[in-house]
Amino acid sequence: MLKVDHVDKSYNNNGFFKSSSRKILEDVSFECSQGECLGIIGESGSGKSTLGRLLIGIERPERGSIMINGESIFKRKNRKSKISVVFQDYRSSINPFFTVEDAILEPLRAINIEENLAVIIDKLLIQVGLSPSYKHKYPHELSGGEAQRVCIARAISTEPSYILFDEAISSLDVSIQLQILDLLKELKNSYKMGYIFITHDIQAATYICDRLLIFKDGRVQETIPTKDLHLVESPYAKKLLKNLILF
Amino acid sequence: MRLIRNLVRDKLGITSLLFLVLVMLMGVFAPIIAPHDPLAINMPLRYASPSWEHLLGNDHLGRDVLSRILYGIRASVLWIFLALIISVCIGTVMGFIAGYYRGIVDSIIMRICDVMLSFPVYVITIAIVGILGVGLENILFAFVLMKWAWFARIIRTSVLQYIEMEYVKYARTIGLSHRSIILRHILPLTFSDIAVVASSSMSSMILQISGLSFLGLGIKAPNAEWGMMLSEAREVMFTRPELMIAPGVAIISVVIGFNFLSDSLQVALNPELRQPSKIIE
Amino acid sequence: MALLEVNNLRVWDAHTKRVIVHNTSFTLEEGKCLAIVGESGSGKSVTCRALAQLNKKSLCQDGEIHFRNERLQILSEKQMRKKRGKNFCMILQNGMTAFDPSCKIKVHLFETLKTHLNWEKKRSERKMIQAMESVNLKNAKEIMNKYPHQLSGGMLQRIMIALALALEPDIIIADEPTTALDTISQCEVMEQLRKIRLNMNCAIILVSHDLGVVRNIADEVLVMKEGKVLEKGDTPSVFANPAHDYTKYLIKTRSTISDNFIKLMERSNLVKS
Repeated sequence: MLKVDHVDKSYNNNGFFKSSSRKILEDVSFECSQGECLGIIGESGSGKSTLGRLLIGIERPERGSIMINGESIFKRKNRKSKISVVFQDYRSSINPFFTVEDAILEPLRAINIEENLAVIIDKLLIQVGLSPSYKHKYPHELSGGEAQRVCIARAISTEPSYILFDEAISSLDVSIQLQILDLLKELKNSYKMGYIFITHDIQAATYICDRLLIFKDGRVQETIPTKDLHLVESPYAKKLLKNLILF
Repeated sequence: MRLIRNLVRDKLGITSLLFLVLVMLMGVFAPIIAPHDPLAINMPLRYASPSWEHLLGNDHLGRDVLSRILYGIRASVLWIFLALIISVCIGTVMGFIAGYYRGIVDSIIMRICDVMLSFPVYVITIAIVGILGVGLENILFAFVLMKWAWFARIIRTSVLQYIEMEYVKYARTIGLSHRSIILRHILPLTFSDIAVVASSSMSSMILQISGLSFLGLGIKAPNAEWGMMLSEAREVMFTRPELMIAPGVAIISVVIGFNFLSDSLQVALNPELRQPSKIIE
Repeated sequence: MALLEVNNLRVWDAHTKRVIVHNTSFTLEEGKCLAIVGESGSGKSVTCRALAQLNKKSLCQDGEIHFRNERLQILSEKQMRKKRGKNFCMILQNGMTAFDPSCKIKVHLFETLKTHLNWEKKRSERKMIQAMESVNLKNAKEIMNKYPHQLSGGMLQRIMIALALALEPDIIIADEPTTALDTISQCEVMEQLRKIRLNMNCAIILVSHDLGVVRNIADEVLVMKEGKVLEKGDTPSVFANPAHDYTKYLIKTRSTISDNFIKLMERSNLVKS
């Protein structure tokens, strides 16, 4: 279980003579339990990417804490094999010098799993819908959807407590988006992992998430279960729903 | 291993590598392979044309030009190579510390670099030679002192660029140590930048050493060095131009070799620039 | 008379001899909106860049492109450059990289207006402010004095549209104008494109992979896959009775995502569908 507790974050603009600080996140608190899928919805500039960086523990907030199963995620060993992430930019998510195999092995090696690696990799690749022959390919030889599948295989390899998806499907074609969403649904059923889905695309979020968190200007506007989405109260959430291009 | 395999595929690259290795070996084994003593003065053979005995002819003191070229490799290539490696190592370590950890360390290292880079190389070299005396080792010392700052700057920029990559963020997320992130994710990528910068500055260092020796600040008089050989041949430039050709060609071919090698290294290191690997269906 | 007529357009890579766009023909009537739909790598962007002859040098093209009965291929690069901007206007996918990051927005805008319409600064500024206000950009003067990195993607995209408005072209080629934007800005940008059509009667070629966007605005659709045109026709009829399996597949995937959402929202009247 992930618990975010009263988190504040601001950045300093260090000028030569004066330094000013800009508040990005203000008093953000929420929880995500094991096996739940939480969607964080916001526009660009709302601070949701900053929140993403805090949630994977690579940046620290000024105030507040983020705990996983009662332990702070800002300690490296607490993150190991518990948190994973899939990013938006599939072109830079995999080290260009690594083959698909090296990339998937990385988190396994980090927790000292050395046995049956070949079998594990084949199994993971099949699970994300790729043929095992992909393991000798380099990232630049993969299409966007394939690269994102490899990233998902890498993320689920250690069966973490939760995976963060930072706009993970936004730069894919719509038909590929659906494939990836279906894959994620399927994986969630078999692994019981928690998902945190950061996105601006509310339609895709409702497809997979159990609960939605509407985020604006670094604050949580509203948290609502997906099935009650039509009952949103905050004016911003209403505007968000009104401004959609539907099919 | 992969690197060598890829380099072998590139004809120009492997040729340059073999050529440079050969040149360096010739420098190391100069006493064995040189046909004559490079310092032996033989006045009757002053400005002699090439003959079977002296393949490249003799210089103004009747010394064998071929032997002097071979001995010159030591100063002109081997020692410079050593100085280069030392300064690249210092620069890489400094650049990585500055780029990876940022903050106050970064500012301090970068300000030191700014100070070093604000002096022209020739001025500092001449100043050091003025303080410590004429000699190859002093010039090399000056080079190391000056060049590391230049490498540190370039490597820092390169590190900064890769540290923002999402696979580095991923590696940090899954809790890899800083050491393994640097070794596995950043160093291999910056290595191509390092190799390119290093090999191109190898060329410029060879030319600079030759230039300084030409001015008489480099290696001491009787010893052989390519730049100094050029300088000695200058006096008879119009009457016996062939004396300039041998050291000139030697310098140019080594410099070209390093340039080609750096280009091929860049291709060999980067999977994206390589021929596509075998497609396994 | 058709505004733009494309006959057997073919684009291929000069080095690898790989054909990127196979014989493609279509026509665009005055004031209509044609959408080119397809997944990434289907050659839709290459097609529309070929119309303005903006592809890389290594891509060759043949076939006939007539603009108001004038053959475009026979024009020199110089004449073509005049046509772009005045007759064709491109709106690109990524506003962030479409402007020169080293100078203020207005430098870019005024330069464009000066080259194509030979307007002096005062007039450009007045017209631009008008155009920017009509795309819902308040404080137009202030925005023009900013650098691209100070503005959001949606704003830059709308500035591009405003520039298109001021130039009054005959055809606007919009290459994935909404893809890089978030949902609210997407809606605004589409709204502006629709307005332009109404007010200026200019034709639009819209390239997109999002069928929702296409259905919203296009009169005609062209479905492309791997450089081939699979289907073309009126938007309502294509969406109602897709002939090709691939079109059906695209429509199905898009509606799967939307249906779920619409079902949720049907319980209220927040969303009017």
